[in-house]
Amino acid sequence: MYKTHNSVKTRSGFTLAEISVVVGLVSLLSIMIFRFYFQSNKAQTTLIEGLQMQNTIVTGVNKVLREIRSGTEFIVPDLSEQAPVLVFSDFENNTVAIFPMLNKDLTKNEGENIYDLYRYKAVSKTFDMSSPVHDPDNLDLLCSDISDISFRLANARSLTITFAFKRAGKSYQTITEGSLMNSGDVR
Amino acid sequence: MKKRKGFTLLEITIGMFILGGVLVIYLQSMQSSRKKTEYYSEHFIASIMAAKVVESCFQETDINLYGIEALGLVDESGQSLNFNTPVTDGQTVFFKTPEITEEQHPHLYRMFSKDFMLNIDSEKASKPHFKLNTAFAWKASTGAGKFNFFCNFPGSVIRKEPHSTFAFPEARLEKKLVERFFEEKDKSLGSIISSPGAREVALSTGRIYFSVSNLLRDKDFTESFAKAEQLAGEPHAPDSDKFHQATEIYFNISRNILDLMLYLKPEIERVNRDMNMIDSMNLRNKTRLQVFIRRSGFAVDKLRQIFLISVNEAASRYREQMKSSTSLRSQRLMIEKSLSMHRLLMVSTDFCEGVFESGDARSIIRAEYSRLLDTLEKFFADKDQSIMRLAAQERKFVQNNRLKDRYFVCDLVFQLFAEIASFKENLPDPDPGVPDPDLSVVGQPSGNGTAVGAVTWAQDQLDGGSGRGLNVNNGKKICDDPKAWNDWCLAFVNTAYNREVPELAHESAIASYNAMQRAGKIKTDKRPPAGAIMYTEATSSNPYGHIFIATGKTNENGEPIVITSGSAASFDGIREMTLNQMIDICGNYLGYAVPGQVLR
Repeated sequence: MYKTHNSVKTRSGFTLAEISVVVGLVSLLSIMIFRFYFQSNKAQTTLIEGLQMQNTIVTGVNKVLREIRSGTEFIVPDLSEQAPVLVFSDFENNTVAIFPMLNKDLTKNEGENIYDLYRYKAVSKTFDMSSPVHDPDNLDLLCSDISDISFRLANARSLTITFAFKRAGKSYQTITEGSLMNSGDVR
Repeated sequence: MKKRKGFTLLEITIGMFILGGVLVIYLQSMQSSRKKTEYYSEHFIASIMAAKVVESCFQETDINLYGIEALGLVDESGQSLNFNTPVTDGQTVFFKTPEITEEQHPHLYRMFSKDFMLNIDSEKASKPHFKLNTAFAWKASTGAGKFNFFCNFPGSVIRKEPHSTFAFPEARLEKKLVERFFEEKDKSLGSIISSPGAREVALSTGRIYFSVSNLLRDKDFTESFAKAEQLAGEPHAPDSDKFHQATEIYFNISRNILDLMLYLKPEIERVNRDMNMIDSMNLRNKTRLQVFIRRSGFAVDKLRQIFLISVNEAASRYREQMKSSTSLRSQRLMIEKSLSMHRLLMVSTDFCEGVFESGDARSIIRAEYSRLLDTLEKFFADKDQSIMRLAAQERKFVQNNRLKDRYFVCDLVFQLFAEIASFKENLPDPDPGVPDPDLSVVGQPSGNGTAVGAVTWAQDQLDGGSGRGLNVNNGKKICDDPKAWNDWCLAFVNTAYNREVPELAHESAIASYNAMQRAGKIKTDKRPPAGAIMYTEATSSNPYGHIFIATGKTNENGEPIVITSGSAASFDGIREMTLNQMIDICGNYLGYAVPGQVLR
């Protein structure tokens, strides 16, 4: 007589359903981790870029305001008018111009015109009108990353400056007021 | 049974939940970080904008003392108006030019159009200042955002003690009073005036009389005024150096006079208030003091007249310079100066006697001022809002008669002129025979051809006067040489009358007398009016006779007082004495000629 016995076969792996669930969960987890990682990285980059931009704006605006404070008389623009350049006399009767110049590299990167803002001082003692020569020592870079700038003369002593900055595709704008601090009466 | 080696579904699920929880916390932290970044960006822009608003306030108050009020931040009494406005599309005065619009400033517009408010609170920090809190408030994604900027601005009515830089030389004042006012020598003021109150009145009168007459005969002062008048009479363009030079001279004259008048204000107040204290003095000294109080009153009134003439000239010239100015800075300066001068004229409309040659002073001043404000409002309407607001505000002050309340110097000038007017009204009239002095001849080389001018000019040659009368015969002046007029009595009288009396053009005093007598102009009584030309006889010691001038004054015994030049035999210089004393020195009295009858 054969002894029949019901032996239970021991399972040595996962079922397809289990594996599918686990793979699904791991995939979901991976996607979330990667997403969070990139979000975090992007936020970090945005934060750093924002801080850098604020730094650029503060430095640039302060440099422009400091230049204007040495002035005694605005020449361009005229009262209540607006211009992309500013020309004024300083307390030594030198003529100072603040003007934007196209930055080709940044323009290429940003896909729109980006300028550097320069200051040029024509020193009255040495400037010869009959043969005006550009002196590179009198040219200073005030700030970069400018997409637009305008100077509007609010009154004889102060002007409103509108700055637009652009870096890494992001735009920033600010409006500030610059005033002549030097009466020019006392040297 | 074989043991299972993996995790159960339950275990994995729990693990996943734990991991998910950690990720959610991380995600929230990231979100919070992003919001904070946005907040800091808004905060940064708000700080720059607040700095712009503060700078605008500074600019407004730079040209307009009441700029904070003109901007609508406080009311007339200086109370805060709770200024609270959005900032886009020109909704606030601070961002009107240029406006923050979606087309022009998209980045700023996006930020500022979402619940971004500009709020300015003001508080009277101290008497002359406002404390301003310029705040930008906005609804940030983190909650509420706010940036505060505290700053002080000038604004409320400034009151201060008037301060003069004028310094009167007090050292010799008492001596001068004794010698000039009371014609005494080697006496103290206390021995002449015993009452301390009356003494103070005398000292104040001395300060007024000597300081004003010193200024009026000061070489720099008279020359600069003459220079200004000469330049003003020439056709110079308003942008020329000479036009500017004349304007500055008029301005400096008015400033110097105001400085002196500030010094004199308490002295005038004292004389005005305590004049009755001199009633206790003896008749002679009281009369002498009254004469000088009266002269002081006229001298101060003359100052008022010169001050207002100079202010009026400066006002109209600054106006012309403003119109022709090519420099914005200079134009702004001219506006400030022109307005200051016009304000002074506006508060002086009741005191303009003798300032304008014709027309009603009040109408002329008001019309000019109104025209100036009109010009400013129209011309700067679209150019410089701060000047336009200043002109509009100024017009309101005028309409409500508030110039005196608002501008310290206006109030000061008004009070000064009111005091002078009251002083002039209360001036004593000690001796109707004594004419008011004609100050235009003080410091001049000769008189002006009038009797009053002759007396004033002759008195100016007395010790203590300018002594600048010129003896053309020897080229000398008494200020340089006390003997300048010794033995030149006819020349002295002739010069006092500016050589305009034909009968004085003779070789000697006695020849002049004979000519007067031939013309029937001699009177022989002893009551000569001021400026009368008087004669004594020729003697063996003085064959030329003597000529001198009546002052119109009498002493306590009713004897006429004359003014005469000296001689080598008598005294040096010019003196006042009674007619009897004159007779004792020179011989018999012949008579006098009345000024009105002898002048051409």
